[in-house]
Amino acid sequence: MFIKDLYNYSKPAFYGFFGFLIVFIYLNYKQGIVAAPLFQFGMYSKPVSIKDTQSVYKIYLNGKLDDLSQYSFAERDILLVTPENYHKSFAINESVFQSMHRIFSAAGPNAFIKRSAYVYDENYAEFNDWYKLLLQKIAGYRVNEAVVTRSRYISDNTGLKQISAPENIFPFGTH
Amino acid sequence: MELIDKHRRQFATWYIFCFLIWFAWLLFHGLLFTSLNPVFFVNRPDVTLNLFMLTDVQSLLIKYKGVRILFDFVYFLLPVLLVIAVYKKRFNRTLATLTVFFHLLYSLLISSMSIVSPEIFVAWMTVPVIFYARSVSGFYYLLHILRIFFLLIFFSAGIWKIRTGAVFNAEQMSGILLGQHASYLANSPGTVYGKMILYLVNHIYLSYFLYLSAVVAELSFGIGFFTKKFDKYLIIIFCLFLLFNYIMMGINYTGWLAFLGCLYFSKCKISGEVKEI
Repeated sequence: MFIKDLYNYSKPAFYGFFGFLIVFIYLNYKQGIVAAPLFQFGMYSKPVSIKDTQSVYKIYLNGKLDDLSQYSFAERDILLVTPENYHKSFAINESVFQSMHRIFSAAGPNAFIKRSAYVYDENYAEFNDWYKLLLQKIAGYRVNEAVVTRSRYISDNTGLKQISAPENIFPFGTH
Repeated sequence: MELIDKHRRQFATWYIFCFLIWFAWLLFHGLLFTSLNPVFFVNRPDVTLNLFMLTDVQSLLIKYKGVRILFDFVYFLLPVLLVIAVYKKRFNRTLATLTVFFHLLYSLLISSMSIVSPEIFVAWMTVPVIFYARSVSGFYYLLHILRIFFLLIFFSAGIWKIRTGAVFNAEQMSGILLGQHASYLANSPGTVYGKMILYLVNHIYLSYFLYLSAVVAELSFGIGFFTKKFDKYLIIIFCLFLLFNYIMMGINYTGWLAFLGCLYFSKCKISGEVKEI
């Protein structure tokens, strides 16, 4: 058996590996806070339904609806998800900071935690310029005006049906 | 077949080949720090990432171009130097340790500043561990530790789907495809790809069959805990997983190809004198 051979071969390697296995199993059993990206691989294991409401993003460049089919998967994700991520980052970063503050306080290095490293102020003007440049780079032409909208859709047997009016989520500071 | 030192070099060549493909993909999609020029980050409740963040390295990356260039340069350079070290049999321990540590740091930070998940970087934080070995016997044991870790990734993903009940949900795959491609379907429903995804969304049992097949494939990696006989089939299953994931989900797992060296060389045995790692 490999684990027995490993024990006979090298005690440090055995204890290191065995410790990793215990932590892996424990964290998968316990869920919640992740120790490192090496320990949990859910890979779409959260149950979902086709009746779930979907967020649909549309990008308008220079007043024209952008055709997403011309982009690769990664480019599409970068374009669609980034404004929402920026918007969510303030609340998420604050919440993670609070959790980590509690954990690190219990462990000791609390004095090293600086709030300024984890939480920053909104800077919509900076983000607007940056995201516009990103759009320009991926689209491959000059973008004078960019608008991203979000609306809610549900699925029926023929396709997706819009159930809410589009809401402008980019540029920030104009809505 | 007996495991010999040549296999270590062959594995190192495979590793660098996969890494160069991966790096080119990051470069092409603007997913390196230098091309991304990030202005924000989204934190995660990940203890390791937050330990790194204690140093405020994330602010340095956002503020200074020089730091971003340095990070990308070191990210590329370390695997190259590591492979040279394996061939030359010098400094491989130091370089393997540095590569694991730096790739962990890089992956966690880049994924907090872009759309990529840290999981798809996992091979680059773990595969260099096997090049820590100086002896063939050390290589053998580290290779098998990594092999078990790779099996565990898939097996645990299958177990998760049973635990959450997702595998018993007939709508699961249709729901996943909708969530993954909602914007695309609303924007470009008439394209061949849009029609294919919509067809699967609307044919719940067909897409559920695909999901169930994926769960069975994930659970089949469990057999590897007991025998190495089926490793060649696990290589084929992994390649199918990679292909289907890219086509249907748009997720790029090519980085994980580096793990396949563990399944390929697992058939080799060690004999002769057993030396320290």
